[in-house]
Amino acid sequence: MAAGWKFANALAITLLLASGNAFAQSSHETIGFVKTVAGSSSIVRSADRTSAASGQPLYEKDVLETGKDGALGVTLKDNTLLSLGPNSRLVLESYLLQPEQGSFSLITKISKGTVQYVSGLIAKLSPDAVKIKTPLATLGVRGTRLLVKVAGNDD
Amino acid sequence: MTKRTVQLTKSVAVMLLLLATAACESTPRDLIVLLPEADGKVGQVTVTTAGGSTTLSSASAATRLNSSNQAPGQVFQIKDENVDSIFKSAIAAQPKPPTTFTLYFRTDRTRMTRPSNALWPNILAEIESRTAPDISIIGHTDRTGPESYNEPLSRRRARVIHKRLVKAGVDPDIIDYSWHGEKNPIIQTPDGAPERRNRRVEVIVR
Repeated sequence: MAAGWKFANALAITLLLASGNAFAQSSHETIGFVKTVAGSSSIVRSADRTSAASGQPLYEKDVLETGKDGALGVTLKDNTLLSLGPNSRLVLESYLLQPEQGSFSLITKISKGTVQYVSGLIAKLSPDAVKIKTPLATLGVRGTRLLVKVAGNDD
Repeated sequence: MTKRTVQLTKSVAVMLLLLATAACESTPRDLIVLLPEADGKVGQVTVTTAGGSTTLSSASAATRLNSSNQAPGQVFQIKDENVDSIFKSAIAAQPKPPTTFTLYFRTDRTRMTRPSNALWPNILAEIESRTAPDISIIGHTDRTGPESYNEPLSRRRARVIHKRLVKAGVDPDIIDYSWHGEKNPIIQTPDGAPERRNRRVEVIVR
């Protein structure tokens, strides 16, 4: 059991270091990809809106938005899964993987709608680095799966 | 309009306003629900507002939020049918969880061991089963030989796998590869020790 846990940790650290090395930290580092799209869903990047398409790369600061009939699922490079129901808006505020400096961050902001979050490696290795912000609260996680509903302004 | 109807209209308006306010206050804005992970483990989430903080730590534990000045509402067990009616689309949109394959190598070789080689079709099948896959490849060595030798060896191992995937028709744009030499062993060993479980390449299919 203990050996299994150690193994899992070593693997997690390995994967994490890998992600850190594979990409130089730059503003256009790919931090994940769109995986599932339904109905009207878009990615807003520095005020430019494009229809979301599966396989589309994601960058820090990207905004995920879904319309009335929309749904959207993304997988980040640390294996975090985020998925949005209709009429939802989520900002990928910050994503940082610099294990050699001990710097981690995964901050998302949900301003409206319904979202499922399934934690990845950042949450496993540096739980305090993960924050989910809503208009009313800040959520801190310990490796988990959770659902968030935010009424938002137009509800 | 008579003075009386004006007064009546006013009082109706006030009543409506009161009702509307009451309705707003009784309709909680936000909802947070903790669910078990795919492996059944239940984590923990701490919900903090300016008014206070609460922690969810059991499956289907939930809390409601009304305003940022109020502490999160009392923790309750949410019914599955309510989770379903509120979150069905968000849950259905969840991408397939990533799958990790570990491929092993003989000492100082860039060719996979026979059992690992036999896994190859599974990797391709896993990639093909996904509509928009992306892949990470990470090469490693054990501590046989000097680190200065092992770093390029781990790179060569990663590159062999990368090449083979590309040759199999996988788009190189969706693959990244990196290497760690002997620095990230699965099993800790003294320097110079051979360890088959550390001579590996990890392939993560997302």
